[in-house]
Amino acid sequence: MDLQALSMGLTVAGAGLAVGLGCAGSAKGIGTAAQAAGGVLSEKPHLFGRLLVLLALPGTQGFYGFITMMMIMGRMSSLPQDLKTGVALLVMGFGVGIALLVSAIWQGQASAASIAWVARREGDFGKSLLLPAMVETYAVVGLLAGILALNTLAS
Amino acid sequence: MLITLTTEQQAWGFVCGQVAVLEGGLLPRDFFHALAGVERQDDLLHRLQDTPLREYVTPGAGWEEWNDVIDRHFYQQMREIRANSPVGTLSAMFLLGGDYLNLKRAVLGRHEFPFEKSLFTEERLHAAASGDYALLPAETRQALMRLGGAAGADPAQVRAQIDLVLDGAYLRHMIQLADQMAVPLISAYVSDYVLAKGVALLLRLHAQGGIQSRQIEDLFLPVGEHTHVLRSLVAAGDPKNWASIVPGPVGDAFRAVLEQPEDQWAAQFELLAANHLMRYARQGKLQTMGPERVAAYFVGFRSQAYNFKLVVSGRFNGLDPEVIRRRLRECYV
Repeated sequence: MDLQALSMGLTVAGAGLAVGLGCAGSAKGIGTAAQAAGGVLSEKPHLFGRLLVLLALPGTQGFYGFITMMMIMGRMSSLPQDLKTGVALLVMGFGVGIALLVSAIWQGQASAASIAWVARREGDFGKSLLLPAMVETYAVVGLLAGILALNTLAS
Repeated sequence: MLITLTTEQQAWGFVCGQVAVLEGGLLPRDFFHALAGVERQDDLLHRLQDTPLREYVTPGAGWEEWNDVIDRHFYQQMREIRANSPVGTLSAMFLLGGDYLNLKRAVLGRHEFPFEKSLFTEERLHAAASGDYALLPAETRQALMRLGGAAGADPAQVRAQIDLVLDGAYLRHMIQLADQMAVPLISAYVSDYVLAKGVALLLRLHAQGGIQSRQIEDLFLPVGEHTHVLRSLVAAGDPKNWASIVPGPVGDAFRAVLEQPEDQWAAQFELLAANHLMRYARQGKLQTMGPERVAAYFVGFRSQAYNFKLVVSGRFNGLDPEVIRRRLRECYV
């Protein structure tokens, strides 16, 4: 078996999982928040700008997944082409992807709750941003952990 | 009384967003307290025009039209929410009372149906008024068959029998719709609602001169899981003996009522039971998206419509503000 090719395959799979799971989570999170926003906007169209911010928040995980994928692919040539590295990158991509997937789904729920809040109290928009932002923290932690792991592997 | 709320109900997201806005239009109990104390009728009408009802008022509307205004507001919002809901069952549950009031008129042979029509369409009601029950649901048809021996009897007695039969059918229909929804909070709400309605009915019958156990058995029962409770109440006779029979929070409401003068039992019990049911609404309000949130809004909205009618008709009929305030139901906000 060509271990170099297998290692490369596992690395690409890890990168794919990071971006795939991140984007899937973002799609679901935004979908959840958009449903709630649609209902609010049918009664209060003037809230469009504020609700757009809230429903876009779960979209960041897709970008974090994309960043993770780009970093893995960018470092691929400089990393050792052995099975150990391939497996490590696969697991790292999967771990980051899971963190992004779950945080995006729950951020969508948090955004929907904030949208309901803003619908009742328009002046509380600033405070309402904090709820989904708290969930965002863990997507960022997942991304940073991925970057650190990648740097450790490369050093 | 903490009941688990359902999850993964994204299909309810849109309508819950809409409800989040509409909730902002619901009025607190303090508003109705203040409204009940307004001295002049003109001032009362002005205050009402500062509420969401204003969109439904025709200029120069007299006070006697306000009941229609309140109904128009209620039904219009219910229709909008029903149109945006992923399933119509929930709205049907809250409009079912109007359906059965229309059906009572139809069974009496009338062809005007003033209440909102949801499950029983105009066509079905006209057919029922002509004696053809084929278009009604099987359960309702079976209930109406119990009226078979009423022909030729005293009209007041026939009307009372129709009321009993259709009240029983209504409660069974509510249970059936709640079973279709399969949402724990809504099932718990309907269970207590049915028990409260059953006890209130027996209290009223008692106040009107006594409960005829044969009639209750033949025309009204069964009503789901509470059938045995209602049978025990009928067997116990005097409401003073019911305290240990009525279970749960509805039983607590009933026991509180027994401390009041006997002529107020029925009205007080209905008030306390409605206030208890509002607790379910408060829990449903915590749901971000799901049928519980919408049901909670319906409960709150119905309570508001009741309070509006109570204050408006009470004030225009010269009722003492304190009497009105005592009868106000708990509000959603």
